[in-house]
Formats: sequence, C-alpha cells, structure tokens
Amino acid sequence: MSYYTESLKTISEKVTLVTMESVERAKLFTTNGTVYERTTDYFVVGVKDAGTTLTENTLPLSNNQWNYSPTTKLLTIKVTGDPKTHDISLTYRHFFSTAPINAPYDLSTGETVEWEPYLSSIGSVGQQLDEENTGIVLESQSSITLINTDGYFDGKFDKLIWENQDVAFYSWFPTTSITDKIKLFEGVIESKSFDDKSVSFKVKDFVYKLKNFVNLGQFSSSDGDILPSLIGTPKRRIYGKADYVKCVCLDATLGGFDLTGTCSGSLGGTTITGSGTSFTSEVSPGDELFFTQNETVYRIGVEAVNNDTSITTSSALVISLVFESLKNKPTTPYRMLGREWHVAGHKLRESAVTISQVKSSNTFTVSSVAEYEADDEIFVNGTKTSIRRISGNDIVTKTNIVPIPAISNTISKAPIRDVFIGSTKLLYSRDYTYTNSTYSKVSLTPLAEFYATEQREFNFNLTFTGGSRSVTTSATVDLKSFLKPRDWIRSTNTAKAQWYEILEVKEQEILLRATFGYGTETGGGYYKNVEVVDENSLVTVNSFGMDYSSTWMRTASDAVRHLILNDAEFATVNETSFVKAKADCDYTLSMVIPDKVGGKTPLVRDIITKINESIFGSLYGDSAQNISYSVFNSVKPESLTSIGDDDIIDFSVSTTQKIVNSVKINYRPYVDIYSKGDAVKTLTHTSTFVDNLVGIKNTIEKTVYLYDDSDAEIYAQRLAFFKSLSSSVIRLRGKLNFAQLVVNDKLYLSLDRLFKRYAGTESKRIGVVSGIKKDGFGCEITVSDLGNIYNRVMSIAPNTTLDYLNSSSDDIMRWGYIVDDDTETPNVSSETGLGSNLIG
Amino acid sequence: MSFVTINSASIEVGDALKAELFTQIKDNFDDHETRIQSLAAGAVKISLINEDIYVGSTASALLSGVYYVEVLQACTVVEGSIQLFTKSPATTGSLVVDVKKNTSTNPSGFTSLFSSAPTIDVASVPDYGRRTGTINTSYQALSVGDILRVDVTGLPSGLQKFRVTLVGEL
Repeated sequence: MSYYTESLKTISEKVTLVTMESVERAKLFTTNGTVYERTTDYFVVGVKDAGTTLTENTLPLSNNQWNYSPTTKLLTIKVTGDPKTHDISLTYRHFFSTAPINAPYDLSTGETVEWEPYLSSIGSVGQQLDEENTGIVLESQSSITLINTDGYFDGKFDKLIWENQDVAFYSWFPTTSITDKIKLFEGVIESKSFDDKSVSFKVKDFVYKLKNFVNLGQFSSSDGDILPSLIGTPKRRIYGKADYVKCVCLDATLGGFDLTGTCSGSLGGTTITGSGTSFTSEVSPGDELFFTQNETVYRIGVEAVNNDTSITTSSALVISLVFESLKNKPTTPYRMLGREWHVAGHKLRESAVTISQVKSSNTFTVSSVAEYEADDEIFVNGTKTSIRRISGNDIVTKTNIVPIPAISNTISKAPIRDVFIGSTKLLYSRDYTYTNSTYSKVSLTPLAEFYATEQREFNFNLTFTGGSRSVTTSATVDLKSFLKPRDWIRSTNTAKAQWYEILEVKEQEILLRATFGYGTETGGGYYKNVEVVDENSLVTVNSFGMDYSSTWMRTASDAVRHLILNDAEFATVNETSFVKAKADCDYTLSMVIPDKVGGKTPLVRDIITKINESIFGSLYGDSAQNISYSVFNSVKPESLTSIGDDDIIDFSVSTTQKIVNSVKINYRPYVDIYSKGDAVKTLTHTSTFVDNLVGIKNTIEKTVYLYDDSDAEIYAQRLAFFKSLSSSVIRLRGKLNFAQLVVNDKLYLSLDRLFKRYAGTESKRIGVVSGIKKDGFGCEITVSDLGNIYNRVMSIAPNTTLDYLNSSSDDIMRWGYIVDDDTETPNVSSETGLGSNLIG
Repeated sequence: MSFVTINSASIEVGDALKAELFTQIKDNFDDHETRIQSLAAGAVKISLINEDIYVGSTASALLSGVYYVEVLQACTVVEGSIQLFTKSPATTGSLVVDVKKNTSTNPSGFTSLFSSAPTIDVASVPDYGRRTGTINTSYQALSVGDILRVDVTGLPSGLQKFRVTLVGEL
C-alpha cells in the first residue's frame, strides 16, 4: 500500500505530523570521568557552544562532541573544562501529531519516540510561480495550532526559545510504512501565541532566507586611496562574462600626494630647496604644494620647476620650511597615481588546461575543452594566439606555435581579456598587468597612456638643444595650442628617437623633464597629447566572471547555486536539480552586481529573480522541501503523470491573453566607452505567426543578463512563442493524491470537459504545475499550458512509436511527425495536425 | 560509427521523429568530424617565403621592399620568422622584419601580416638565432595573386645577411 493509492480511497485515516524545534541554555552538568552528563526533558538534536555547533558522535567522545540517548534521555558532552564556564545551548525537537503514535524521530530508521497527540490543525501551505513558470516561488506562511487544554505548554511556551527554530509538517496514512510519509512543509517558526485552550505558531518557509543581502564586501580605506563617495559601497561581483566593466581607482590622488624627500625655504623667499626630491617628475608649474603646521594649512603655488631639487614659488613664502614633508595637488594628473583599478571583489575565472598530445605545431589535445571556443584568445605555453576550431578535445590554433609546445605545457585564457582607458584599448604587459586572487585588479604601467596615444607630427621645425631641457621653435606658432605639461615629444630623426615628457610649455619654448640626450637637432618633431589617467577617468575591462572553488560561475545554475549557498546561507541544495538545470540551459550570463559602481547591495532574491527571468528559470522546494532549480523547457517525459476525471474533486480553467507580436530584448549590459553612460545591447524579434493569424500589435520589452547574441536571440524567440497564444491555467482540486506533486512537474490532463486547444486534436493537454496548495486533508494545484506550447513543439519520439496514421491520440499529442512540405501536416488529406508538434 | 545513408523510408510524411533517426544523424556528424579532424591533422604546410636576405656591409637606412613574391596558392599564414647567420660585425641594435600583403605591387595598400613583427636584438641573440613574429589573425588569409613584400624596419649597423621564412597552411 503506497501513499498515492491510499490517497485515492474515498475514506482513509490520515495523520498529520509536526516536528518543532526549540532552544534552551544549559549550564549544570554532572561530571563523569572526562565527560559531562545531564538528563533532559526533551529530545536533543543539537548542541552549540557560544553559537558554534558541536559534533554529534557515538561514545566515547572527543573534545567538542556530544551524544544523546533517547532511551535514557541522557545527554553527554565533552568540552574543555566544566560546561558551566561555557555558553552551552541545546536544541530540542518536539514531536506532535493528530493521533497518538510511536514512530522514529526522523520518520525513517531512527530511534522510536512518542508523537504527542496535541496537534489540532495546520494551515495550508503552498508554492506558486508566475505565469511563465519562472522566478522564485512566493514566500509561503502557515500556522500550527496545538491543544493546550491540559496546560501541556504552560511550562514550555516562554521557557524555551521557539522563534526562528526549524519546523516541518508531514502527511501520513497509518496503513502505509512511515517512510511513505509526505513532507508538506519545511521552514522556521516566526511567532507564537498562547491561551488557555491552545497554542499557535506562525511559520514561514525557506524563501524568507532569500531576503539576505548579497555578500559582496564593501570598499574601505584599507583597500587603498579610494574616492570618499565610494567608501562603504559594495565591491562588484561578475557572473558569466562581462564587457566594459567600470573599475574603481585604488590609488586616487584625492586632495594631493606626498612628494618624495623633504623641502626647505626661507620666510619671504621664493625658492624651495629639496633634499632627496624628484621635482622634475613629480611637480609641474601651476601645481599647489601644501603642508600643515599647528593645524594651519600652508599652500604654496609653483611658478617654475628648476631641477629635481629646486622650485621657484609663485609668491613669497609666509613661513619658513625646514626639511618639511610637502604634498602636491597637481593641476595635471600625476602619472604614477591612478595605476591600480579594482575590477571585482573575487577571483576571476582563469581557465587553464594541460596539453596531453601535440598533433602538429598548431593542433593540441587537451583534457577538456569545456571553457574554450573558436576565436578565443589563448596563451599556448605563454605564446598568445587564438583558436581556429575545436574538434573533440583538440584545440587548433590560428597560428603555429614556435617553439612547438611539449606535453604537459599549458593552454590558458587570461581572466581579463581587454582593458580600456576611455575608448583606447591597452596592450597586455606593455600597458597593464593584473592581479587575480581573492580579488581582481588591473595595474596600469606608468607609460600606459603614452603607449596608447597616437603620435602626431608638427608642421614646423623645432630645435632640440643637446644637454638641455629646452626645445624651441622659430616658427610663428603658439606651442601652448599644441602641447601641455605631461605630453611627450621627440625628434623625427630616427637616430634621435627618444621620447621626452614635457614639464612646461611656453609660447615658443618647451621645457622637458629630462635633458635632451643627443647632440642639438633642428628639424621636425612628433608629439603625443596624453590624457593622464586619474581617479575620475573611465577605465573598463572585458573579463570573465567569478571563479568559486575552481569552477567558473558561468551559467544561471552556477550563479543561483552560489547565491543560495554563499549569500542566503543554505547548508544544502538539491544538487541533482542544479546539474540538470545547467544541462538544460548552458547560456553564459553577463551580470555585474551591483549594476553600477557605488550602487546599493541588492537582495539575494532580487538577483535570482533577474537571473531566472533571463533563462526561464525557477527556484522552488522539491517534494522533500530541498531547494531545487529548474529551467523551463518543452521536453515531454516519456512517462507523464496522468490526471483524469476520477482524480479530481473539481476543476476550472481561466485563460489569460497577453499576446504580443514583437519582443524587444535588452541584454549584456555594459558601459559605453564613448558616451561613458550605461548601455545594453538590444535585439527585436517579430512573430510572423501573430502578425499573420492574430493581428495584435503589441510589444513586450525585457532585460536579460545573457552574454551571447545567439542566446539572447533564442530567448526572444521563446518569449515570442509563449506570447503568441493565450495561456490557460487549470485549477484542479483533489484529495491528497496531489500531495507528491511539486511545481515544475509536467502532467498529462485527460478531462472529459476540457476544451480543445489550437493545433490539438483532443481536449487532452500537457501542462506544467505552476502552483500547489496542500494541508493535511487535501490539495489544490494550478497547471499552466503556457500558451499551449506542449502541443506545438515537436519532441523526439521513442523508437517504438508508430507512424501518424496508426498512432494513438496520446502519442500524437506528445511526439513529432514528419509533415508534408506544402500542407504542413503529417496527413496530406487532413488539416487536423496543422501547426502542431511536427516538423517538415 | 562509420557513415550510414539514412533510409528515405524513415523520413516519409507521417513518420514519427524517432530517437533512432536522430542517433543516426548524430553518428553521421560524428563520423564526418572524425574525418575532418584527421584531414586537419595532416594539413599541408607550404613555404611562402624561405629566402636569405643580403643587405651588404654598407646598408644603413631601413629597406622597404627588399623582396617581393606572389601567392600562388590560397592559404592561411601560420608562422613567420627571421634567423641570423653570423652577426659580426653587428653588436647592437635590433633586426626587425615585417612582411606585408597587398593585391598588387602598388606601394599604397600593403598591410602587415604581423601584430608583432619578428625581432632579433643582436646584443642578446647568438649567431644563427631565430625569432618568430606574432601573426595578426585578422590578415592571415592569403588569396591567389596576393603580393607579399618584405620590409626591413630595424637593421643593426653592420649586419649583412639574414633569413626570412613565412609558412602557410592549406
């Protein structure tokens, strides 16, 4: 006798079981050799010391372990010293039911305990997804009412801590094995109430945990010199891969930077003399030097930089300087700052595989090509190249690798693919390097901007004076209209091709920061107008996303699982469901959290919702109330649960019409490096089916966090398909025969009164469970046909399937058949199958 | 599994789209991929340039167009390198050789095949040393009739002779 067969009976004895947990502090134990003991009033399921969980074990115990014997009700613990010097708390489990029974404490094979018949009732519990079966099941609340006419709870109600403790409901038929019970609900106790006849507890399910904030970490002064407005804002997290991710400067100039060495100068004088200073590289005319003495800030304008140890001030000094440490607030950004740029508060995926066979100078066999695809830029044993094609586990590169790599050499992909200053792309090694450990950052080289800037040529001659910092022109030009401090110039003479950084520009003279190292040269000149990076510059990267436990958090399944375990702090998930979801939907995400630098830390729930809406994903509790993940698809299992008229008490059908002919998809958010504003890629898909048959003109716009154009296109097509016909939602009320169903289960409905759908030959239909409500006595489910997609999408048939004319109506509803090119039907003399689950 | 012709009888109108049909299609694709892989592994390499360049003892200016060759077989450039003979009397400076392509010998319109041209610093590379450039994959495809031009863009004083090689793959 199974739960299901029992549930179909007209009359059957039903028992509802409830386990509730409570917590109590414990100080007094009796010593017994090296352990401490105490007899408890209730069943112990957990022991903590100052919040740290101790380990349950069989006797004898090691330190920080405990053991409980249900038979003797003896709790034994072992901690360092007497437990009274610790902060020990005990977690009890209480067992209630609607009838007096003895059953294992874990409803499985554990020790038998007495389930007290104090359970009066439980409220209904359920899960509900939205109309596209995506998102997160809504938070469900319920209640437990326990009988207290004999004062059973008088000594327990306030003495024990019930709030936020675990609770579970079960349904069971005593004529079946206890292992056949059904878990109806799992959650925590929210609040409690008490009167002389009953005690009530309000409970809520797992979804409340999703209200945690995403654990991103925050920028603080320990991360570096960061703009004050960004201190306390979240660091960013990247799932999948992302383009043009804006970075945060970690070595900002802010109010000024410390000059190297010390400075001296006389009161009333205009010369500052340095000791160990590097004025020519660190200071420019127009800069403002300052220092604080006796809480007064003294500011000194720079008129001229004479050499590394001498500056002429723009006005007389109002205080004498004696080996004073000065700061500089530069008029032009100092190119030794603004070098460090934070990308994300975690390690980025840096894929690497080992060569197991060298087939030729550009074909290498590796252990796995899972993270590689054609056109990827890779390093083969340190040599940069790109992938022409992948075949099996062979990577074929676009160029030969010289010298030819050896077995066990590495093929890898850089975690940061590209770096940009504004709209200028930088070159790895020459312009930047990166750090990728517990966080990721880009380090710009001191000359990154110089290398990345295009050179121009003067259309007049210059005289570079040998051994001098002076460059002059006799042309009738104003050099200030061409150049500014920290630009660069050189002679066009290839024998004197050294570039020089500019200190100061006058109308017809340029002062260099270093002396011209060749003989005097008069002739043409090249120059570079360099925009030196500072904390307000736009530095962006194209990067791969998070690496967590040596796995790339690439897909929706990866990201949601990470959020659930890492941020919502669940201990476990239904791993099988996440693996299947990843196989069902392998799309690469493109999501940066928060979406803006300096943005607010989002809730876990909000991020999962965005991910789910990007791939038709849903998060729900399975039949054992484990957190499960599913990506909606049109696959029809060979064996479907069939619901007939005998299975239900009643049903109703409602139809919603949200037909659209056009779907606009925004995807892969990025920062526009030209406008510096936030942007998204977009695409639009138009449904010719709606245009030709329905005629409705309506557009739906969605933002999805997908990287690949092809995936976004498929999403748009799927959404347009969903929205091309009205959807039917069928509400079915039954007995406990539906108790084993969970959301996302697919059902085969065969009800006499169900109406025929478009492209269907029968009133039968396949739908997916979008909601379920159950209590100890009955169930109600809602089933959606999602725009009748199951009748309209072809599925691969089992090998035993007959051809169309000989197939049963059930098979015709489920499987695909080859159609005629003209009639588009599997039977050329009938229109019955037009537009159904068939291909031509 | 080797290639098997799909029987027309299994794809007639009204036939169920059975799993075995898709298995057959997959097996055929896998078989084709295996054959392609085998062919690719034996891809023919051709020598596009394999020349000794002699610039003489008096060459001091950089030399554009020291060698021209016409492409006779469409292919993809996969490797380009330079190699020293004895470098004496050169002791300093870098030998840099660029190879560019155009659809004619017209000096205007030549595009480098390298994103980083092969370079030899004679101070650090021994006699007979060889260095490879980085092929620019945007320009690696060659068509029949393309003209290849060798430019010496860096020449250490005194260096007289070196070898240039360019390899294509059919």
